[in-house]
Amino acid sequence: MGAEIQTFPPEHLKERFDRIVARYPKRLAALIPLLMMLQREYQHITPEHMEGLATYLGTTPAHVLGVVTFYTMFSHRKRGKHHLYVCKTLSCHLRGAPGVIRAFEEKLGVKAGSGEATPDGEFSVDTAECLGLCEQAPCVLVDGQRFGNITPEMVDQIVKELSR
Amino acid sequence: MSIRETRILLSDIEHPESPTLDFYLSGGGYKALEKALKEMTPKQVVDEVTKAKVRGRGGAGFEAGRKWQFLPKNNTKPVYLTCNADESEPGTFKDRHIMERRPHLLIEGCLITCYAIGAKTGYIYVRGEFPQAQASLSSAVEEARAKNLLGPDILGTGVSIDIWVHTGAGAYICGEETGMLSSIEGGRGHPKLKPPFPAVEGLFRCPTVVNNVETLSNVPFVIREGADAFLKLGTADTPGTRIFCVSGHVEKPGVFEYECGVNLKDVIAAAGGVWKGRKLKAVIPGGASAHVLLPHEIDVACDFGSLAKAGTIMGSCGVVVIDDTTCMVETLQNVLEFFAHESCGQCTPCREGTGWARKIVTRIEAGKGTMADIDRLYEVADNFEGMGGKTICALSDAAAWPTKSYVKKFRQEFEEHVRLGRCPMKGA
Ligand SMILES: Cc1cc2nc3c(=O)[nH]c(=O)nc-3n(C[C@H](O)[C@H](O)[C@H](O)COP(=O)(O)O)c2cc1C
Ligand code: FES
Repeated sequence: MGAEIQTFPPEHLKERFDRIVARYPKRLAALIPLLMMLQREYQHITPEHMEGLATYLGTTPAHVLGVVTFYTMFSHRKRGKHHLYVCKTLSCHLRGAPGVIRAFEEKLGVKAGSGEATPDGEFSVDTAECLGLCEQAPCVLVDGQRFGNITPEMVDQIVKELSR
Repeated sequence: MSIRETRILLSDIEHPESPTLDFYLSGGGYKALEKALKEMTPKQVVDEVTKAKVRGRGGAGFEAGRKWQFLPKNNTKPVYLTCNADESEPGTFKDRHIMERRPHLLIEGCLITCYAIGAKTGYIYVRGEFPQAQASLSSAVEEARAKNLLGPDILGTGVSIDIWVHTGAGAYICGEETGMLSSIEGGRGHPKLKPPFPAVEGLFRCPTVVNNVETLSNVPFVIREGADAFLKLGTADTPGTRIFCVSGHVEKPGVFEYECGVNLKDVIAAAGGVWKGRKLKAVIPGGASAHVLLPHEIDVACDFGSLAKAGTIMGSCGVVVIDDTTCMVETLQNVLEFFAHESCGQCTPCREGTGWARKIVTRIEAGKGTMADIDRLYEVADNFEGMGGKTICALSDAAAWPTKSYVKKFRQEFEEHVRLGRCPMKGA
């Protein structure tokens, strides 16, 4: 069990959690925004998070589990500190996404979409469906930051920039 | 013909200060809100928007004013506005530009709409992959709140409206309106059977209006300048402008705002035309769901009616341009991977059908398909096209339209894959 979450919500997130819950007439409506915060903070959603959230929002752990598995931005397995979403959809595909995905896989030694992170825990790679950034195809979203018009040759530089 | 942009939604987006409240106010921002709250009744606002015939920019083109009128009379429950900012239709990125560069325009549109429909709360559902748009909207909400343009007793009028930015977490189906409502309620993004329509029973089982970002962003113009000014733009079928998202094999991909009725061929030319001096092979005019058009079919006016007559849809206005070096079987494979992945799995024809279609097209692309597979692909798609009420939502239609049109219009290319036992575009 993660030592950081003896209490739920975690101390340092409590105030933000309460503020978000207050926006809705039903507490459960805060579920996805809160899961997004946990995912960002811990790079994965643990069973303790799910149980904690269920109690905090008045639902069952099973419901939370069902939601976690539905959305692509949540994961049970710990993702890399930098999780790359490489777009694979139409406009990006037309402008060379397959080569870009391969280049990231080769550079980092992990398979896209496998859920596996680099041994140092720094990186993981996912393919994503259209990121709504098609004018900059092919593109990547990582740490809330965007990189567009990527060529396989730029992959080294992007990884270097993220490692800084 | 070379064409000029008419920017009422994207005006000044290049200006570095464009997202700020001060900049927005200096261009007459929030004047429409003040006018609506101080000089108009909610009904007058609804009537004005109805008169302007603002058609839904999310894809289906339903008139916003008419939709608002579906709210039950003598209702005692709270009413909600939910703004659809899920923008996940492949090839679409217009809403993102509004939210990042002109967040106050959308917020003003939401506030006026809330007033019109009697909602005290509005939620903007922004897809999880848009952190910049979320941040831009959230700070704009706080700026507006600090200036008493949002929150309790707006501008001393006694009207109180709150707007909150709500995040999605990665799921195309949450762009379908009832899927979005399920998601805001804290569930899986499962669409629900209609009726009841959201206007009658939506968010938290209360009457709810769902509108797209671009739709709501037109409301300030309609209120400030009047419906007649809006009706002067565009065509009788689709008044106003639309933001065209041009991507794929063009020289200058990007967003371009034109009056509706602009010719599709000119839109592509204005985006620099086909890249690398290559020839045009196909155009998808309204997002990946749209029926594909051949080069000789793109001399067409872009409004809902004309594109429907041309056998496709205006949809989300995501224009994807495809050059002559592209394999259409591979392209369809890519599109079907998307739909098979995004099916929520509730309805058998969609869940199984999109998966089957993906498998068949993958087989053909790999050179392992048979001639019978080509017919099978078409038939499978014909079968999961849900218009006959086979499915809860229209995702399966969105998958069927490209499938059937690619097979029909590029049949020879599919057959060539079978004959050669490989993809002809990929060398021997
Ligand atoms: C599978 C599917 C996906 C959709 N995705 C979106 C979307 O991302 N954004 C959007 O505004 N509308 C989307 N829609 C349309 C919405 O259901 C709804 O019609 C729209 O938000 C209504 O707003 P409007 O009338 O202002 O266009 C989608 C519909 C379907 C069937
Ligand atoms: S297809 Fe990659 S961002 Fe749209």
